[in-house]
Amino acid sequence: MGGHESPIQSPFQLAFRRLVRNRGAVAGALLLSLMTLACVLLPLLLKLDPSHTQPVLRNLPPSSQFWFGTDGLGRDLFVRVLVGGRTSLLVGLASTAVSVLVGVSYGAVAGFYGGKVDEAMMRLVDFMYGLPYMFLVILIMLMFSEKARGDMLPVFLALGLVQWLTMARIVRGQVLTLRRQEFVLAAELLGASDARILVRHVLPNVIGVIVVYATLMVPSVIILESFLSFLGLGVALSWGQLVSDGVAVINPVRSYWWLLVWPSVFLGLTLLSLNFIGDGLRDALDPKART
Amino acid sequence: MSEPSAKDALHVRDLSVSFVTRERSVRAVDGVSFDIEPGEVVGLVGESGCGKSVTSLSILGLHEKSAGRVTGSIKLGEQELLGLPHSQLRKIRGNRVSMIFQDPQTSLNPYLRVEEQLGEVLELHLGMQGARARQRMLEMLKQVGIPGEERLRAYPHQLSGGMRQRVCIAMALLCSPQVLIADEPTTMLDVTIQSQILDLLGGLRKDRGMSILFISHDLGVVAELCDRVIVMYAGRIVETGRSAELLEQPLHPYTEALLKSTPRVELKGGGELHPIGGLPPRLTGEKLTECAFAARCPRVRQGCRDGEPALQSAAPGRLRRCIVPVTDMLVPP
Amino acid sequence: MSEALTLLLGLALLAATAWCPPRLTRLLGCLLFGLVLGVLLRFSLGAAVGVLGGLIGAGVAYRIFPLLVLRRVVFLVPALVLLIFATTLLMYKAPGNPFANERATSPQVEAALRAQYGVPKNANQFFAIYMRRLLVEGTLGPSIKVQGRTVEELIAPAFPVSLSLGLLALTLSVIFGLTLGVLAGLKRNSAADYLSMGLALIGISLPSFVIGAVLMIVFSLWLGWLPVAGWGSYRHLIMPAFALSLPSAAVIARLSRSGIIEVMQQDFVRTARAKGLPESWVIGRHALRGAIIPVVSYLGPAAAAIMTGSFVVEVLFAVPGMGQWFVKGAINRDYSVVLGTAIVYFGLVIVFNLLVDLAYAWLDPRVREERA
Repeated sequence: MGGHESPIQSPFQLAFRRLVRNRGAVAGALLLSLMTLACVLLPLLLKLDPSHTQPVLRNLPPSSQFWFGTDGLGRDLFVRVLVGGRTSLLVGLASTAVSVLVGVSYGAVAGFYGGKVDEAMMRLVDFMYGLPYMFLVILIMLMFSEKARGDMLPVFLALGLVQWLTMARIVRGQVLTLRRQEFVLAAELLGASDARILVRHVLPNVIGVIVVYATLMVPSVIILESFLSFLGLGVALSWGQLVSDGVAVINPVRSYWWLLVWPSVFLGLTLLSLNFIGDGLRDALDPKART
Repeated sequence: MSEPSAKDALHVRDLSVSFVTRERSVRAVDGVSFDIEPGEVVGLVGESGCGKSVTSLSILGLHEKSAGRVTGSIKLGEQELLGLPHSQLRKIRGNRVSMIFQDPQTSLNPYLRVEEQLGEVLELHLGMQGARARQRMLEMLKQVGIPGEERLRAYPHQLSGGMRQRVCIAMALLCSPQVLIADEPTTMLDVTIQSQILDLLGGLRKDRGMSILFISHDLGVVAELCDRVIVMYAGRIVETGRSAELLEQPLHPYTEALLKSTPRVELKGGGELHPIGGLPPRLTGEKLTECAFAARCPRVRQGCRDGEPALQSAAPGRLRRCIVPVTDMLVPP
Repeated sequence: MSEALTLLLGLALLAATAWCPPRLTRLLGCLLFGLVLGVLLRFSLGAAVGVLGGLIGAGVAYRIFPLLVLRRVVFLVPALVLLIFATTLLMYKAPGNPFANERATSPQVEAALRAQYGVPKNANQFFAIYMRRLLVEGTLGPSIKVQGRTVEELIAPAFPVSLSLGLLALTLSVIFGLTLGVLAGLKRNSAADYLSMGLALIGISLPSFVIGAVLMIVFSLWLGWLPVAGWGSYRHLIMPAFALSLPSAAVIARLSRSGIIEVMQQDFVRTARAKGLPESWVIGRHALRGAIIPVVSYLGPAAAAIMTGSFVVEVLFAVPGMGQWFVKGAINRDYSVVLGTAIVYFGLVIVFNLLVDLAYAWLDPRVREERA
């Protein structure tokens, strides 16, 4: 009789166990890894070239020779989907990294110093939150499109700057609450500098939330990139580009369904996986919020 | 205010409530039986987790539906409440049996005005609306000590804690119920407000001949208001009796320990606090093989671990679940 | 360099409005409101009505508007101006200019053209000219590429198109999202729940043009029920609106689901049941409001998302909305057109967010006093 005894586990370990129990998240993680490996390695290993045109073989439906069929210039769609995946995934990753960097810094500072500083900083965020930020992104891409062919950096930056607001808000909220907790006060009393408190005491507690929302941001960025590609502002071959090509040839007479279906499926599955993983992470890290 | 018609007693027999979750099953209430006569105030006392709240919630079927299983009998007069279909049960709720809860801040809907929340009850049970309803609400608010039109139009967050609880009480009494279940109504309030609310409840009970089931972990509060006291531990009743007698001379070691652990203002500087060491037992579905309190009991002896004692009468109107002889109880352990 | 400085100054000023005392806020707020109202009226009804309307508007605002609203106005109007400035800067910084083609054969011709259209080489100067033209003359300026037309003449027919599409999409997303989400939340872990959330997941995992393309294929090419693209009848509205609304509907569904689940666990819901209320009252009168509130907070971003999506959907379904003017203007470096569309978009967003703020205050009485 008496209380419970169990081996002591850190919150992260407990969270990890919960995550692993979530079948959707695990499936998503597997699928995502497979997809990434395929897109990155297969073209390298098999020496595939996405721009190899064979006009005589254009618009062929899927066959044993061309698994996904060919497009209007006779290019192998399978190869193009794989290589396009590299771009889409890379954009997702890099842009989210930018968002996280900017957002976390901004939010941490606002939440940490609180008061009027926080109020002023958050007003700007509140305002920008409702903006069709994408508007400015499109403008940037439109303006710089000639110069930017093949140059990915502006894309990362532009897209990254769209999402940082959410991250800033969330981090700020967390930091604000944590700031008032006693262990932070204790650190202050011991004479720790602001920076040290921030990095060693506050941030480790915020990491969980950051990871969750970063994972959930990647799909949004990939979708935004696909928008840009669809509007013809894409910088490199990506899934969005391929879908846009597929949509362009929709006509009632001949259906080139494979041009639309394959890239869409890959795109959809990737995003689905990311969402599952993100949801799983969120449930794992905050089971009280579980619904 | 309506004339009290023939009042019904509340009879609880052999009430057991179990919760079954993925990991385990817990028997929160085990074979609890008691009566509340019309006009009586009965206190239900025990520490957190002893099952007193669950008991009170099951009377109106407000317990956690998804995992709970309730067996036994709960009768209001001749009518069996347990197993009653929802459509009939809700006619009793707020009407013949009302309930107020611990936290007045979260018990009221923050988005609706007081008059809307009070009005619902009148509209639903008494078919009252418009001016008549307003009249009734104002009267009721006056009776609970917060008169004035502006209270009706107020939102809960505009009222103080004590006022909110009074609103809850008013809401519960609008239809002149026969039984009021009060689940720790003063725990979240200041001491000064506490006594006001207790006075209020005492007065209302007298005026209306209503019975009250008063749940609390605070013996001092219970002493003030209640005629009889039921002490619960680990989901079962361990002692009952008239409150004055029971608090003056407890006949169960747990009640005794509870009394001793209550900090008193009279303790001169240097007086020690006497907490009850250890934790309550885990309540799985199996039968207990020993007295539930044995592990923490200062009077534990041979025989306590041989099996769970039965609830027996130790004196007129006194029941207890303990094998320690009454004479022993009169002396310190 | 001076441009960057101006921008920073503007940002600082904007942030500084946080420190504005109530009296000043009220005064500034109603003046700015009057100004905006005046400019708007001037557009449609002429100078006299504009001035009069502006003055009356300012007076009304002074007396009636709650401080909450005026504080927002004090922030938002300068913000709008700052946005216009930022957009101008962007355009000027980008390579190319409106006159870099065969028409401008010599510097003198180019200078003359620049003077004629009011497009100097310096961004600050252009901004000054533009604002003066907007406030004093009440026009968005001449289009540089489309001869003899002002920007408002070009945009005016496109505006209602985009607006109706956007509003319809927003309404659809709220209706579908709320219904689906609340039902799913009330019947947790049931088949309906999994189905709804599955749909929601798909909604956020596919870009709206993919959804639109699928709709197009199924409903136009295969079933022939709806026209493939274009504009004209209500039937042209259906697919684009649907495609636009789905991603936001999905988010709203998820939000309202968790919202209703959380609310149902609140104490006051238990109190409602203890009062003997039928379940329909418990949900309808008590729980629902709490579940709607997170959705209302999301409406601002939802509107922005729909605006973003509209670019793509308008292209896909060949809808003659403002999106095409924006894109064309940017490609052609037609500064006035770009700014004109930008003002409309930003203005819409600002107004919308203000309305959402008000709705939020109305829904949650606790907020009303905090802000006041």
